Amino acid sequence: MKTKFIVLLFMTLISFFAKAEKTFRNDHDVCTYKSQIIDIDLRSPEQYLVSEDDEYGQTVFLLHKNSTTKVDLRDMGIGRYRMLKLHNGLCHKILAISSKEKEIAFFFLKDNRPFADLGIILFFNLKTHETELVETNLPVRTAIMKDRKLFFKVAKKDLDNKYGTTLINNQKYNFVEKSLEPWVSFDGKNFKLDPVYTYEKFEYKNLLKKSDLDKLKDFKNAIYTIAVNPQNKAQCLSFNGGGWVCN
Amino acid sequence: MKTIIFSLLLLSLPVLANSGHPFGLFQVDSSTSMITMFDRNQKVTGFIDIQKDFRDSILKVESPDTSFESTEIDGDASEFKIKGQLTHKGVERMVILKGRSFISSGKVAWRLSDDALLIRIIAAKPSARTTAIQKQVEQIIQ
Repeated sequence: MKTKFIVLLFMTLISFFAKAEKTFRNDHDVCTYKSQIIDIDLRSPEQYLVSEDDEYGQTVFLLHKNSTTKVDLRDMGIGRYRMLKLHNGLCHKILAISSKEKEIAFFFLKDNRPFADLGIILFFNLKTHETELVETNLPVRTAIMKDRKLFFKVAKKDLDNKYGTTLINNQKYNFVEKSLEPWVSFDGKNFKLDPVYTYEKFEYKNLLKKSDLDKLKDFKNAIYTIAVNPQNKAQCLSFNGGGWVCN
Repeated sequence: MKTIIFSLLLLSLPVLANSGHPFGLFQVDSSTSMITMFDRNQKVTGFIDIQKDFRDSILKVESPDTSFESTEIDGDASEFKIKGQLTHKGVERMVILKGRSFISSGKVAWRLSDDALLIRIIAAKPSARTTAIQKQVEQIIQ
């Protein structure tokens, strides 16, 4: 009787601890670095999540050469993270670059809704299996990879947009005033504001001279107003409260 | 004789460890550090900024329910009292915590307590790369 009780107690304890450790897959990817395969698994303790949350997890498991490295991404136990997805030469889904010899930088986004999620970098050393997690406050709108260099569009809060109507050359225009969302580059070591790429990707660059953007010392906090005439579809741009330039 | 020398060596270890480079910003290791408030353990995050004049140092930590921010530090790096603002579930009050620390190269371990609150912290200096990236991003978004 006593033995049975001990066995039962032992099994209960095992099942309790097994349950405590159990996590469920939220996302998964396979990456290849110089013929070496790295399996990356994003997991969370919750088995069922609503569709808006099902890509967010808390723990990353990196499987490389039969060794598993666990990285707890949680900040204060309440943070949730998702993979920053962009197909690239290393991984199918998660954005990754080779930051230096035998090291990969994986990019995640930290849940910051209703605002843009924040960029997180997980460096993984393929030789030592050491990891380094760098949390940043960079609100990421989107990412692009070009010439083995990464570019991130820095999100500004949409709530700051102003709408209205105005007269330009005695004609009525509908306008919206927005914050310019600058692009920053990342080469594996440094984040830098990129005025050239910001200009290249600016939706209304046909109304803006490249030199105008270069001249702006603080273009990262620039505001522009785009006005549209509903009748003739003409567009006008005012940059940082300057005069209107129309097409 | 050997025993005496060995004992002296052992006794000098904490002194040597404390003679490291204690100044600078230390990031709390959230996987090992805890705030215990009314017997409830919670993981904690935050930072310790140790200044050359230890009294000007800053401790700021928070868990989902509780946060603590130092306002005044009295003592030295090995034994000290910290006066600070404790916020628990939205209720604020001033507390004085007794503290002890152990500083080794690149890491600090602090234990602070009063009757209701215990904060156990292990904090490490972030790497030069982490510090540089975070600084660059802060400059970009400011």
